[in-house]
Amino acid sequence: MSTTNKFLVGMFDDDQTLLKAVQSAKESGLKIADAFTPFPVHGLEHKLGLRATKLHTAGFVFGATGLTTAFSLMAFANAVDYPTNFGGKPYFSLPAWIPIMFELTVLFASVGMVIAFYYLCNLYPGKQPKIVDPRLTDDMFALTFDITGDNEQSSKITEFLNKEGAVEVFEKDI
Amino acid sequence: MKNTYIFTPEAKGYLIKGFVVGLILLAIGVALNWNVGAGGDHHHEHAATLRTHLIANIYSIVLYGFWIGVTALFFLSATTLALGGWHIQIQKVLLAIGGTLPFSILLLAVFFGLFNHDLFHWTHDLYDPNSPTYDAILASKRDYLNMGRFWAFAIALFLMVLTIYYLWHKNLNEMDVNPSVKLFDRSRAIAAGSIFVLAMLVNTFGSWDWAMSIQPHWYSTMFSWYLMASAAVGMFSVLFIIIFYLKRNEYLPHVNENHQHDVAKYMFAISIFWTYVWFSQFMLIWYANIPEETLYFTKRLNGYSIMFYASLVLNFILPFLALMKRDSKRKSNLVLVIAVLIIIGHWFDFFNMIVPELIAGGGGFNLISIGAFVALSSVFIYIALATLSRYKDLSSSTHPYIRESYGHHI
Repeated sequence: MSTTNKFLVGMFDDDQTLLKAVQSAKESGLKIADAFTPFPVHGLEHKLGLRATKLHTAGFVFGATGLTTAFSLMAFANAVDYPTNFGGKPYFSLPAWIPIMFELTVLFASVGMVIAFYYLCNLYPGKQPKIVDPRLTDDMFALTFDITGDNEQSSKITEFLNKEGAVEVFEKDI
Repeated sequence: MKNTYIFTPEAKGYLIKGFVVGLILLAIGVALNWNVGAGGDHHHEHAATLRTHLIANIYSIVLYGFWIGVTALFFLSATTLALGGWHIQIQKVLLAIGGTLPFSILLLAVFFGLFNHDLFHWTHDLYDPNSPTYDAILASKRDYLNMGRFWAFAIALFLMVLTIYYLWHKNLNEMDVNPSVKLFDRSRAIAAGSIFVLAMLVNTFGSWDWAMSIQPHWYSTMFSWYLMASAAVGMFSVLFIIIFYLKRNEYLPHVNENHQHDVAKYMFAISIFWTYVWFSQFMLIWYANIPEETLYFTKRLNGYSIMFYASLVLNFILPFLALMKRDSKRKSNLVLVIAVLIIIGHWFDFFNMIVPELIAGGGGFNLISIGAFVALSSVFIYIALATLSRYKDLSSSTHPYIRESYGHHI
């Protein structure tokens, strides 16, 4: 993970300007590496053409695993392996198990989704953050373009960003 | 751009046909059950007669319709109070669903006035120690379960509901003509009063008096919110169907899949909430296994088990699996089918609350039920659409929050 890429960063001070720049970049065939904003900008994910996350599907699979785990453990223990009489209820007492099945569904889904989220975002404890610019958590917006080994693109993109109203353009190795 | 809903003769024709079909089914049901419960039955002292069949089935549907109206006004108030903006374009539809309330209140009043003896066991001569039907347990509840208190509460609750509907109706119509911050603030004040009155007073005492007291020996502290959750899912389904119908006829041009997604989300979420309450009530009673509590479910599982499990499938498993994905909530054709099934499912739920108590041992669900449901839902939809056509500004296009509704994006 130690490879660094060279990025051209265009800083914007307005979310609407950024949205317009994304649109023009798409029209002029420039490939945006990523966009950074201090708050969610409506419609940005569609304009960037990001595909929908698969985290929900992972959540469903984890939840179903939790449900099955709880059910099979209780069914095996209470009805097969060690049947015990609790208040005259049948050994196979589904209503009594449902709260535990629900709890394990929630537990597996939430813990599993946290792990899946870390995996999808390439995060792990002790990871050194790669910060494009600290102002991006405050009041600035940025578009980044990957220009690794392609210096010809650099001047063209710089020109494009200036035209689209970027307040600052700089190169950064990340 | 059409911004006033026109209730076309074609739409009226469909609903009138629906009503007639319902009446025909009801008539066939009556003919088939003409001799039901008359003589011959030695096992039950009071076998349910045709009269009981008609009263029980129609009453459960009227109660369902009444609560759909109440939850529509409640939802309108709650969203307004939370400074919601997305629903502004469809708030007239919510108000129009509330417009069925005068009709359902009239029907309920008729039931309470003429058929209270058929519906409520506690109106029988139970409180006099010298009476052969003296019931010591119910006699201890006589301070609450008596006709004087019942009517006082019913009239008070009906008047409160009608006042809330009138205030909302007046306020939103004034806002269409002459929007001002003062009127907007007033709508929030109405909303604040409404959620208290509708949720705390109407829902609590209404569900105790008009639904739970049908089985006066049994009580559940979860019953009020179970009933309201049930009606709320039905209301969101009705809301979705009316929006779908309006969209198809080129009304509400700025309502898009984002707004429909939000309504579908409520259908999904409140379905799960309903299941939570339904199951909590069931499991505690099942686990404790106390005879006077299990009585309620014994009556519903003996003879009505198909309705009992069908309501669980239609109201939980189906919406849970079908509406879970974001994409499926945005497919209006799919949500439409689910909405229709949910409305039927919650009708089964209201049926289960009322009918098994009055027609014990099964047989309560027949053509009478289906005919009454088809006929009455046609009337309810007719009244809702007729109310909707009275609003000059269907999408509330002069509301201060309308831009937020236009730009709603999730």
